[in-house]
Amino acid sequence: MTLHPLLEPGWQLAVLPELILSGGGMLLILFDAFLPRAKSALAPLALIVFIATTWSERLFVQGGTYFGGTYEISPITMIFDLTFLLAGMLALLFARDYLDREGIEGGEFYALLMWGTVGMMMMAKGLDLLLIILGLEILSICIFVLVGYHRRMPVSNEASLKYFLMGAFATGFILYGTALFYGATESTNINTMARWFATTTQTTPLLTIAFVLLMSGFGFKLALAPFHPWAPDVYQGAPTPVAGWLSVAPKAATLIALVRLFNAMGPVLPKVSWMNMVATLAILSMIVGNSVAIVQRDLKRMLAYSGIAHVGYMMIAMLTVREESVAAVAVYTIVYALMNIGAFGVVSLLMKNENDPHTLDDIAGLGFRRKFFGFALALCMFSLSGLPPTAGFISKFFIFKTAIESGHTTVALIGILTSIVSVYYYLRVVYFLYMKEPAEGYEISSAGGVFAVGALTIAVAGILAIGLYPTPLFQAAGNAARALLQQ
Amino acid sequence: MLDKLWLIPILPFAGFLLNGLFGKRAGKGFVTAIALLATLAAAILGTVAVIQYNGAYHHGERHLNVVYEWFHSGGIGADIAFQLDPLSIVMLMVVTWVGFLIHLYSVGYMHHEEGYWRYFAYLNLFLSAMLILILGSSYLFMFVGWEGVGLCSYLLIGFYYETDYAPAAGKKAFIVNRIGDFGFLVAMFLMFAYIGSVDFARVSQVAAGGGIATGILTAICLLLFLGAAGKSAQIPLYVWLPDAMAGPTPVSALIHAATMVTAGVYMIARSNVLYRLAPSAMMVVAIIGGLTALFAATIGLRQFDIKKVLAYSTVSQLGFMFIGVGVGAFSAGVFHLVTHAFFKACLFLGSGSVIHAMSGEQDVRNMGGLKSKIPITFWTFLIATIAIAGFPPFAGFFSKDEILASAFVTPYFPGVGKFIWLLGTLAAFCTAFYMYRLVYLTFYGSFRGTHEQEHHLHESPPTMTIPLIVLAALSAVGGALGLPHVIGHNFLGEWLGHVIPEVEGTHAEIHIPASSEWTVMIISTLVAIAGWFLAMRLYKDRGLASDQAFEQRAPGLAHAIENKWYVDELYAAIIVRPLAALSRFFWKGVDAVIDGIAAMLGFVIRGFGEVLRFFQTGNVRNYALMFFIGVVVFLAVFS
Repeated sequence: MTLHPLLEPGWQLAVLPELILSGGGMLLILFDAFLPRAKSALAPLALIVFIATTWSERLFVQGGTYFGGTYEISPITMIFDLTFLLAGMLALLFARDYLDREGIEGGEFYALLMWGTVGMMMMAKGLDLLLIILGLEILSICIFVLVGYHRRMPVSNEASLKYFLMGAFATGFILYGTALFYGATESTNINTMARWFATTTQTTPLLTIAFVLLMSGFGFKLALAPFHPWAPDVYQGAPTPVAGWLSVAPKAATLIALVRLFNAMGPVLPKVSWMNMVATLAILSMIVGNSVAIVQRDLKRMLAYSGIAHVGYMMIAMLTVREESVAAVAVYTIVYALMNIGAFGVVSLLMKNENDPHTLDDIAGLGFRRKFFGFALALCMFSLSGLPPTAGFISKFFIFKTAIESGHTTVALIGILTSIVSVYYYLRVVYFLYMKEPAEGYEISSAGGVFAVGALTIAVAGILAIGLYPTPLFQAAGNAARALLQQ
Repeated sequence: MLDKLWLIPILPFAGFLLNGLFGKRAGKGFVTAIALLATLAAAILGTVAVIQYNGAYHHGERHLNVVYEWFHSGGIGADIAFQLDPLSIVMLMVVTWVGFLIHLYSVGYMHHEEGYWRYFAYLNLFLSAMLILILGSSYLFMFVGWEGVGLCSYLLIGFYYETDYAPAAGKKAFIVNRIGDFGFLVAMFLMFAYIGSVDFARVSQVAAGGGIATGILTAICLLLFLGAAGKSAQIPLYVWLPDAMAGPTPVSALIHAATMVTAGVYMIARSNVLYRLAPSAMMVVAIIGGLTALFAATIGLRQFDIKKVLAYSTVSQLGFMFIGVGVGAFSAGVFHLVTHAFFKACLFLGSGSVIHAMSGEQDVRNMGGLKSKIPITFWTFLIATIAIAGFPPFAGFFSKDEILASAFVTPYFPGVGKFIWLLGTLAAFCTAFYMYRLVYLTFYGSFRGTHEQEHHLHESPPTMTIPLIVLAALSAVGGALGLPHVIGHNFLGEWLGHVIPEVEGTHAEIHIPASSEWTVMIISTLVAIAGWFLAMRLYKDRGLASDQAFEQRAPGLAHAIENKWYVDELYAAIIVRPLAALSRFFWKGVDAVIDGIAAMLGFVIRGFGEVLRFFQTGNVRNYALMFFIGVVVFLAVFS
């Protein structure tokens, strides 16, 4: 084993986004500590940090590997970075109005959002399983705190604890799986493992166990059935903007890490049945997610189950890692960020005692009373259900198309069928929005200032723009995927 | 204009935006002006485009207007592009002009509604989506319109959302249609995979060039037909259409009779090359069409809601259109689509006029003797009835005759063709019978409603009667578009012939020998007369007494028909309830199972469980156990 120089020249620029986010987070906490009365400046400051980070992504387009071959900057990591930043910004904007209303705004909230984003960036860029796990743990700690951020609410505390306990449990599996991988391939570096897989002639049971353990742990993070039961509870208890962010961003980070792993294992996958496990997870998720969502009346729980199903769809494309499928997953995560955080965002605007469930009755007649919020939620629902010409349609179309082209016809057909079932519960939201009068003597108005309206505008514009003109995004994703897979 | 085809669907969309955003505050005058102007402008621009097309193209070539490249990735792509060719033109003229007439009618019919602005906003949105459906140049872009009309149909069926049944009916329509969409989507995936394109012309070209296995083509055609069966209400997916009558009556006329529900017929006519190369799929289409035509017609025999009769009649007539395209007479199917748009729109609008006069009453048992009270409605309704019943020389006779004659002599499956002809002829008999029954029960005899209703009886305003008169006139003379060869000239058939190219080993058109033509025509006429005669004997003087007598003599059969052969109940039992049970199982049942296992394994995991209980989070223990079981099962299976 040769020792690389750990700090290649130019590394500062390579990790500039991470540096800005980390520093920005500290700055916000300090700002809040020294100027506790200037709370209204926190969100704009945080937004500036996010925008500066997005801007800094442009500075380093040539890419390369850093820190002794453990950290990769490439077009695909840039796309995922932007997805994380988009999710972070949307969550931030919704959270501003939400936290303000609940009277719990603080600098640390935004700081945790930023540090969580740093964790995800590490997962997306890490070429070493240990680094990916490190990023995952940074992210997880931020999630524990963010989920429990609404300290006065018992549901929030309970959700945080649940995520903590279950997350620790799952991390154990990931670590043990990684250790076994190390035992078998003598490395935790993805590229080194790839070389090992390319030359090996036979696999051992040890490897299969390693894969099952690792996949189970990641399956937990992705909320794939049967490792999903935490998700509805946690989403329901978490502050709603956090739930939206949590349902999207960490999953995207886990997916890109899995893409790397699956790609490294490429040569042996035809010889083993590992992908059958992934297919099983996908099928179970689609069936369980879509069918259980039907019987939910709590919007956040419904969206949680819908999220389980959506990760199921994405896993279909992951069954064969190739250029089109990686591009399809990359695009899907962006679209999913827009529509799911948008949907959670509208729910976060409903003024309620946060300890109570947000049911369908709460949005009855909202479509005519608050036209824009109603329209935005309806559009998110149409997009989630995959109705053209929304972005949800075209991205789902490509997921199923690549799966069928890769020969996973049965799984894809199950996906299409279950996504038809899903229309039922998405449409029910629209039905309550536009075809229900609010119950007698029941008046819940939705709050929402300029931040939330801005976030919803981004979501609506994005859903429509990607739906009507997806070419640039698909091309960028396709090029990035090609670059990733050619290594 | 030819390079700005996109303006045609954009105009109604602009109408939707304006009325949706400002209609509520701006008032009814504004809403009416915007909605009518947008529709009329689309119709006029469409007509201008058609005239220019006729000047520029002489052999029915396709005019393509690419707006921009929608997406291009992984070797496949699709454009946002509109096309004009003979088939699109026929649809365009029907949709825009009939659409305009129905918009005009709605002004009078919906005048008292509170949601006036909402209604016209949805209606304009519908028109926009429908125009995308018929002008789009690829299956994928067509699908955008396809889903759009479905969405508008859902919104408009549920328009009276204060009622219990209307939103449920809307939901049913949408979900049943999604089953059909499954077929449409998978068909497109297959096209991408095996043909490499979803552009209409390209798909036809590649398929005609050979090299695509018949099995693949058959699969594509059957899947497309599943989509068509959903949208066009064929067995087994027809159940949503009768319920869709919960929407306002002009909506039933526009969406659920004249335009949207015929989209499936349009799609199959559009895909005629694929179907001709997959005769077994054609046979399925024709058989389903024949069965639907007869089955729905039998239900129509004993319905008491004036709109329900017309709804089952629509399902049945759509069945006729599918017989047409199924036996290879694509232009005949489209011909019937056109004439049906005239007479069925007229009938629905007429029923709306009746309902309007009757202060909202829809049950024919409370009507009767309206002939002299609302004469314009009566005469237009009667003309449309004569047309649908198939009396020469009204429009319905010629289109239905061309379909039945083609089924009689189809070269694709001669024996089955005769059987389908028989189904169609029986359905035609039922059609004549139930339509005249409806006329006699509604307009003849004595008035059976309340005094209140009788007092309010009045003919509808001109905005409603003018569309009725125009449509009745078209129902009377529309048949001239496509006369049989033994009598005259089939303009429509020749015009549409341009989009039905010669393909090796298939038949571009069906030659009907003169003898068969006369035979079928005479039998059809006799059948229509028989249906009318029987209905007259039973209902003209005796009215409801005949229905009561039937119920007394054969109560089981009467109830079965009245309850639509219990198909809804059957679907609930075999599909809806099991699905709901499955959902509940995954939700609660799995937890229960896990709880049970937790109890069994309690000893093993007691220590772990006690630690967790300390944190007051009861579920976590079960979740962890579930996780653990999952891992163990996966380990057991995969290693």
